Parts: sequence; C-alpha cells; structure tokens
Amino acid sequence: MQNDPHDIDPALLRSWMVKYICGVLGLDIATFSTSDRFDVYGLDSVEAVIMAGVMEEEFQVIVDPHQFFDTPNVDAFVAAFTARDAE
Amino acid sequence: MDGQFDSIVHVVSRHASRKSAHDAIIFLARGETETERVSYGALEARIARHAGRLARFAGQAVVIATPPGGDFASVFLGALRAGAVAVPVPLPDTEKNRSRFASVLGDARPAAVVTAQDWVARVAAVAGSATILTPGDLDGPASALPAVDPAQPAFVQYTSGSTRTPRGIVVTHGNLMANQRMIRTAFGTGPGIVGVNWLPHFHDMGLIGTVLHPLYLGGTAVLMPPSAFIQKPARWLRAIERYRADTAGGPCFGFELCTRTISDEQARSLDLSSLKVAFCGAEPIRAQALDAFAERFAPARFSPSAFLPCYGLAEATLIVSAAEPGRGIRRKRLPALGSGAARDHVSCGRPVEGGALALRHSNGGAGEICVGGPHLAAGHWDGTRRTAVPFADIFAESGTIYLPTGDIGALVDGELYVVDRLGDFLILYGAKIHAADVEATARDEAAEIRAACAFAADDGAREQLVVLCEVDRRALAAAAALAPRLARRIAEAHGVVPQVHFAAHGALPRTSSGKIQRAAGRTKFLSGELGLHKVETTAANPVSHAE
Repeated sequence: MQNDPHDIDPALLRSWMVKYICGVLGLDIATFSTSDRFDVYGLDSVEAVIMAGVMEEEFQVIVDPHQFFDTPNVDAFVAAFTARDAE
Repeated sequence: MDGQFDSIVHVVSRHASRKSAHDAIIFLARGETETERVSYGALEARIARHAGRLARFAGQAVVIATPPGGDFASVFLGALRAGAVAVPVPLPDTEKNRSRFASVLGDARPAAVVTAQDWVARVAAVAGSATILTPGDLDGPASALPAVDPAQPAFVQYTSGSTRTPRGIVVTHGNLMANQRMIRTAFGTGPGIVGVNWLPHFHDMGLIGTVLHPLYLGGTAVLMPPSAFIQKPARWLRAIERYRADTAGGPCFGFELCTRTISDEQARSLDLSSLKVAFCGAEPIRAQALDAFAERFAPARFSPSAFLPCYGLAEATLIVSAAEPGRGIRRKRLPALGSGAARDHVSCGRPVEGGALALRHSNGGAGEICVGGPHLAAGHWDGTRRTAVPFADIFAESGTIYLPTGDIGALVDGELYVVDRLGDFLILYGAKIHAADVEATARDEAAEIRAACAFAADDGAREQLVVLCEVDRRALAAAAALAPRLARRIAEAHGVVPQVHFAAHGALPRTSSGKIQRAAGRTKFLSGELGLHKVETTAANPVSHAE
C-alpha cells in the first residue's frame, strides 16, 4: 500500500507542505518563502515531526522525520525526498 | 556471594539465569512493526561480551550515542558491567544536538564513544582523541560479573545545565538501585510489568523509568523512538493495546499530543483497559490536559484512576515523590505565592519510601523543595579527575544531606504540590512579587498567550517589571492591541505597571523538559537577542512586539 517517494509529483508535495505549514502557523501563503529554514518561521522540530506523520497519511509514503533536520526547508526537503536516487 | 552489593547488572544476570527466554526488550523502530525482540538470555550474553571489550575503559567515561533499542541497552549495561562510567547522549542529528554533543564531550572527557555505524564519521568529527567504537566492535569474550561498590559511579546524566556550560550528574550504582526500589514501591510495579514507552533513552525518565525499570523487575520494556510517537501519537496507544501494557507515561505534553491528534472515532477503536499506571511528570502537570485525555479515551476504556502524577529530577536519580497508584489526580486550590489569585495545582503525592524531602524558607507555606536520601546523586562529573564533585549547595540537617532543587513546593496533608521554580521573586517598589503569579495573570487574561516570562529589569532609571509573552505567530501582529489590557490587568493584580513585549511561540529559552528559563530569558532580553522592538510606547505602559 506504500507509494515510492520518487513517484510523488514534487510540485504537488511542495504545495501541500506550504499549505500545511501556513495552516498550522497562521502564515500568509502569498508571502511564504519555500527557501527559508523551517525554524526561521517557527516550525519547531516537534511540529516538523508531526507534519511528517500527516504527510505519511496524505501521500501513503514512509517519511523519516530525520529528513527534515537534514534538509530544513521546503525546497530542499522536496528535492531530496522525491529524488530518483533516493532510497 | 553473600553480602555483595547487588547492582543492576547482577539483577539482569539473575533474570537471565531464571527466565532466559522471557522478553526483555521489544523495539518498534517506527512505532508500529516489531523490529527487535531481545530475551533476557540474549541480552545477558550481549552485555557480557560488550563488557569484555569495554573492560579497558574501567573507571573512565564512555559516551554512548546510539539510536534507541536493544543495542543501546546492552552497550549501556555492558559499560556498567565493565566498571566504566556510561554517558548516554542524544545523537548529534540536529544543529542543537551537534553543539550539545561537542560540549558534553568536552566536559565528560570520555576515553571512548560508542555509536552506530552510520554515525561514525559525524561523531569522529567532534570526538577528539576518544576511541570510536560501534556495538559491532564490542563483541569480545564474555566477562564475568564484577564485584561492584555501591559508591562507584554508574553513569552520568547530562540533562541540566546550558549548552555552554554542561553539567553532568553522577549517578552511582547505589543511587540507581535505591531509586529502582523506590519506583517499584511507589508505582506498585512487579515482575510482570509490560511498559510501552517512547521517551528519550538518554534522558532520566526514559532511561531509568522506561528502559531500566522493567529490566530491574524482570519484565518487558516495549520501546519506540520519540520521533515515532510524535509523528503519530496513536502508535503509542496502539502498542499499549497490542502488548497489554500496564505501565506507560511521560510528560504532560505527550498526553496533550494524543488528545490533539487522535479523533473520537479513532479513540473508540482502541482498548487501553490494561493500563494500570499512566505516570505523568518531568514538566508542570496541567490537570486540564489530563482531564481532556481521560475524556477522549474513556471510550477506549482508559481509567482516569490510572493517572499517577510524580515529581523528580536527575539530581535525585529520577523519582522523588509520586501519587498513590490507582487514585488518579488530586488537585488543590492553593494561594498564590505573593500577590495574585489562588490557582489549582496537581498533587505529586508523598515522598517515595526511603527518601527525605524538606521545604526551605517555607514559613509554613510554600518553600524550596530540598531532596535527600540514598537516591541523591553523588555530584557533578569532573572529566579531568574522573570523579564526582559534590554539589556545591548541599546542606546537612538532622543528619541528612539535602540538595535544594530550585523548585518551589507546598506540602498539604503530606503530599507535594509543585507550584513554581525559584530564583524568581521580584522586589519592585518595595513589594515582593512572584514571577509565576504575574505570568499566570497574563495567561489568564488572554487565551492567545501561550507562555509568559516575567522578571525585573533596570532600564537605567529604575527597576521595571518586564513581561515577555509568547503568542502564536499568526496572532503576533494583533498582539500589540492586547498590551494595554494586559498591562492594566497586571497592574490591578500586582500593583505594578509592566512593560509588555510579545514574541512568537517558542522564542523564549526553555530547559530540555520545556520549562521557561526566566534568568536566561532576562539575559536574552537585556542583550537584545530576542529580536523584540518597540512599536508603540506610552508613558504608562510601553509595549513592543517582535518582527
């Protein structure tokens, strides 16, 4: 039942993350920067890990929460997560 | 041998000889599927082999930076069996943990660091001259059980102190065994214990309460990483159901996270009826949070009488006081420390059997909680001399050595209520004001305020009461409008017009257990590091908010 991360459309994942983060933190989607570090706009590590859980449900994939610490912004995460050479 | 001290490694070894096939540790790497199951027989064999390899580090610090699971338990106990001083630390996986890791290594001065294969390169970058080993390297000839002196350091807990000045607390073999007995008596646990927990394995509550306590009793520790729980809190509750756990718990925040993320419908599909002890400690206990959990999980047959609030700290190994098992939460409205209205507090029960607890400067009311007894740790680790240096502020009274904890408590009918942290009186205009009271007034006045930090600051002309309020980022822009109301209310309640500032939730410095650090908050504020700036000022109540 699990999908492969590299089958996910990066644009879809990016827009889902932006919507999720803006919803949780009350940020304006129009001015949200996907290249800012998560902690710059207040997404702390606990909230990032919760997001990983919701993302698993949404996309039917396995998300290692540590990936958010290794690639701590939306652009970098999406690129690494959906990369062809990803595990 | 008769009269020989029975250390934790002796106890585990005895369980292995009596019930070799019994499950000691079950690990769920992602909180769902079982990834590891270790019997007492297998655990004992691994401990003995690790101890054989670690014997050359006897008397020296051995840092253990491994992910949670069976390897951590066997390496930790192997180090103890080898006579080394184990120093469990989090993996250097985030920026914060990397700087923490480096500063702990600098203070502990370990002879060796044990880490998982995947982490060797990253650990080597900061490990200095310490030998780096993986659990796979520790497969030596089995070592015999040693004679252990109860005064000998067993491990060092780096759970207090800032990153800049880490302080390792030395827990002796005697401390550990005394506190294990205390937990057993206080929680009413026994050899049939099945604990299902997610707490960090390098932190006092996770290590002593959830990894070692079931092993001490000969029961089963079912463990998952904290991230697996936080990612999907339902995993914890499903594992409780699956393994028919009788003991599980954590800080209040864990129960809150379950209530926040698990729907009524999901709750109805769970069965939590096996849970007899739902311990709650390590941070202030909010009765409303536990009430909400009990209400949500009543259809899952969770019994609120299972709640067992407790109080403890690493300096006392772990546990200091605990509510009676099977009673649930008892709350009491206690007068505020200084000005301000009475508030409800949750009882943390009676001091554990064999422990001593006293209140200092209490004048019959609340006072600083001071702890003594066989679980009082030996002191701070001196990495250079490889020994414990007694805590600087211990004092003797009636033949007992006590350590002041910095927490303020009240004893009502023999039960402890923790009401505040110390260091936080303000003397303004000749009046004594308790920071906790001002903070409570701020939070009560506006639901938007998630946390507050009050202190006195000298603006060059006079001492002022400063109140830093955390609000959700989305509420930040509108928060300035709250300031006049807050200032008015605080002035009404405490007689001083404050300066009110706003910052995004999470901006204030906290301890590792989530308590706001007032002194650090004050320092950051005064040095301008919080990034606050004034947007609006009136003579009576200047206010500001963060960008």
